[in-house]
Amino acid sequence: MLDILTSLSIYTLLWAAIGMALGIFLGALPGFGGSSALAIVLPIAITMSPLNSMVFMINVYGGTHYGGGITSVMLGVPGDAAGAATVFDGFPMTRKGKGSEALAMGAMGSFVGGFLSVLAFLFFAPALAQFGLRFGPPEFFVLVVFGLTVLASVDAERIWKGLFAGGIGMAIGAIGVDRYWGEPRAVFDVAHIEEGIPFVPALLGLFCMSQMLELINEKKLEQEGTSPANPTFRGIFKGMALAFRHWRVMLQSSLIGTFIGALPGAGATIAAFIAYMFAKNTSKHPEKFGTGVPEGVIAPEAGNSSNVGGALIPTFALGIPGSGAAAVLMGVMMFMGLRPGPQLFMEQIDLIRTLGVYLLFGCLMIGVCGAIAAKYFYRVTQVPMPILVPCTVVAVSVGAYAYRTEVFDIGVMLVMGAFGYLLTRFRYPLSGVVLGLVLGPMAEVYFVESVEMAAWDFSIFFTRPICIVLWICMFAVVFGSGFITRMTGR
Amino acid sequence: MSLIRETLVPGILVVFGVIYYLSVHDLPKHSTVFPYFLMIVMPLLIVMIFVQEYRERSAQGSDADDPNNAVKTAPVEFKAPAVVFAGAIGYLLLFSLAGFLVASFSYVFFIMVYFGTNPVRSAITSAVFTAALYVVFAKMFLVDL
Repeated sequence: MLDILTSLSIYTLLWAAIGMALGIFLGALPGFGGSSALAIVLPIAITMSPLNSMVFMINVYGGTHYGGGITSVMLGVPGDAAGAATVFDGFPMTRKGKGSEALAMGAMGSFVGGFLSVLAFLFFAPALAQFGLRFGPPEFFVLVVFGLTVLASVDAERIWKGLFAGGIGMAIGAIGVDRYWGEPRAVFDVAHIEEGIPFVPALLGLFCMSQMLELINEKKLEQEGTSPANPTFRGIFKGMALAFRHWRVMLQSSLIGTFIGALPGAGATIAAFIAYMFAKNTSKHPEKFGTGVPEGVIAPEAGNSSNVGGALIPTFALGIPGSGAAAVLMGVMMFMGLRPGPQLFMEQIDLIRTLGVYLLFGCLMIGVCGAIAAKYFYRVTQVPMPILVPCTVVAVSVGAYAYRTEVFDIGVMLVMGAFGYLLTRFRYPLSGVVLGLVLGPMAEVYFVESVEMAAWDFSIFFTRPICIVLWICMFAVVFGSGFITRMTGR
Repeated sequence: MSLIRETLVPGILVVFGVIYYLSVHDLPKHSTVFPYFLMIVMPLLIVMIFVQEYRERSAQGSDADDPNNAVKTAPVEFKAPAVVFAGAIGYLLLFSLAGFLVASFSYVFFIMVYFGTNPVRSAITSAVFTAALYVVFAKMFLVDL
C-alpha cells in the first residue's frame, strides 16, 4: 500500500480533479447522464495513458451523479434520472431557504457513498476475479448473456424496445471483419469500416449529437419561475457539518447502492429510489419526507453515487458491464489495450489498486469541493440553447475527428446522431444500443469458441456446472430486478 | 405518434438486415451464425413491440379527450433539429474543404444568429470558442486539425 501511495502522481491527481469537475458540470445539464458525459469526454480520455484515462473517466462518471443532484436541489429538475429521487426533499429544502445546506448534504452523501463503494470494489473485485479464472468460453458466453439481460430492464415499461435496442447495437457491432475468422462482413470495400463502425464517433453521435437535436427546441435549461437564491458558503459549511448527524442513513444507503450497482440492470436510478425508500421506512418521522428533510437528500445521493463502485465490480472482475455507462467505460478500456476480466487482475493488480486510490481521492474531492463547486456549476443551467447546442456539436465533431484524424468519422458521428435522435423520439433506450455494441462482439467470439470446442454441440452451454449456476442467477436477477422496479414504482 | 410511424425504426433495421444478408450470405457458417441468429430474433422483437404499442394505444383510446394525453400527442417540432443537423452536414463539408477554424467559426456563428442571438455576440462567442477548442485539441492533445 505504501508503494502505491508513494507512486501517486500529481498529474494523475489533477486528471481526477478535472474529471470530477467536468462530471459535475455535465451532470448538471438535463439529459446528460453518465453515458452521455462519458461519451463527450472520450476524445480527451483516449489521448492519455490507460491509468490516467480510467481515473479521469470514472471520476467523470462519479461526478455526473452528484451534478445531476445539483439541479434537483436548486431547480427541482433532475439532471438525469438518477437525480429524480433527490428532488423530493432537495427542492423543498431550497424553497425553505436551505438550498446551500441541501447541496452540502448531497455532496457529503455522494462522498461517503462513493468512498465506501470504491472500498467494496477494491475488496470484492479481486475475489470475484479469482473465481472468474475457472471460466472458459462457454461460461463467459453465458455471463455475457447475463450482461445482456440488463437490456430488458433498461426501460421497465418498454422491455421489448430495450431488447430491440440491444439487437441494434449488436447488429452494428457485426459490421466489419469477423473477429474470430477474419472474414469481412458488410464492409462494401470501405476501408474505414473494416475494423467495424468506429466506437468513439458512434458513441458521440448516439449520446451527444442526438441529445443536442433534442435540446434545441428548449429556450434554456432553467425553467420559468424557478430562480433559486445563490448558494452561500456559510450555508454550505453548515450543511457539511450537519450531514454527519445522519451517518446511519449515509451508511445504509451506501451499502444498498453498492449492492444494487453490482447487479446487472438495476442501475443508479433504482439505487437512489430504494435508498430513499429505505431511509423513509426506517426513519422516526417518515411523514416529514417530501417536505425537505436532510435524510431525503443524503439517502438518494449516497445511493446513486455508491452505485459507481458497485458497477465497477462485475465490469473489472468479469468483463461484464452492469449498465450503459459501465459499457462505455469497458469499451474505452478495451480500446486502451486493457481486457477487463479475471486476467486483468492477474496481470495488472497494481494498476487496479492504484486506480482505486485515485478513485478514493476523487470521492474526497466531491466531499471537500463538491458543494462549493455546485455554487458555480448550477449556473450552467442558465446557458441559452443557441450557444450550448452549436458549441457542443462542434466539440463532439472535433472529438470524433480526433479519434483517428479522419473526416469520415465526423460523418459516422452525424449518421449515428440522427439515428440516435430517431431512437430517442420513438423511445428506444440508447444505453441498450451501447450495451449491445460492446457485448455483441464479445458474445459472438465466446459463442464461436464454445461451439468449436464442443463440435457444434449447443448443450455445452447448459451442462457445465458454472453455466447452470449462472443461468439460475440470471433468472433470479431478472425477476428480482423486475420486482424491485415495480416496488419502487418506476 | 401513430402506429404506422412506429414502423420507421424497425423499417430501417429491416433494410439494413437485407443489405447485410446480401453481403454475407456466401460466407462460411462460422462467420454468419451469430448475425443470422440476430436476423431471426429481431423480427420477433418487432412483432412484440407492435403488440405492446397496439395494446397501449387501445388502452389510451378511451382517454383521447383527456388533456393530459393532449400533451403526449402534441406535434413534435422538427424544424430546429433539422436546421442544426443540416448545418452539421455543412460543417462536415466545410471542415474537409476549408479546415477546422473556418468550419467551426462559421457553424457556431450561423446557428447562433439563426436562433436569434445578436450577431456581434455570436461572432465573439464563435471566435473565442473556436480558439479555445483549437488550443485544447491542437496544442494540448496534438491533434492534427
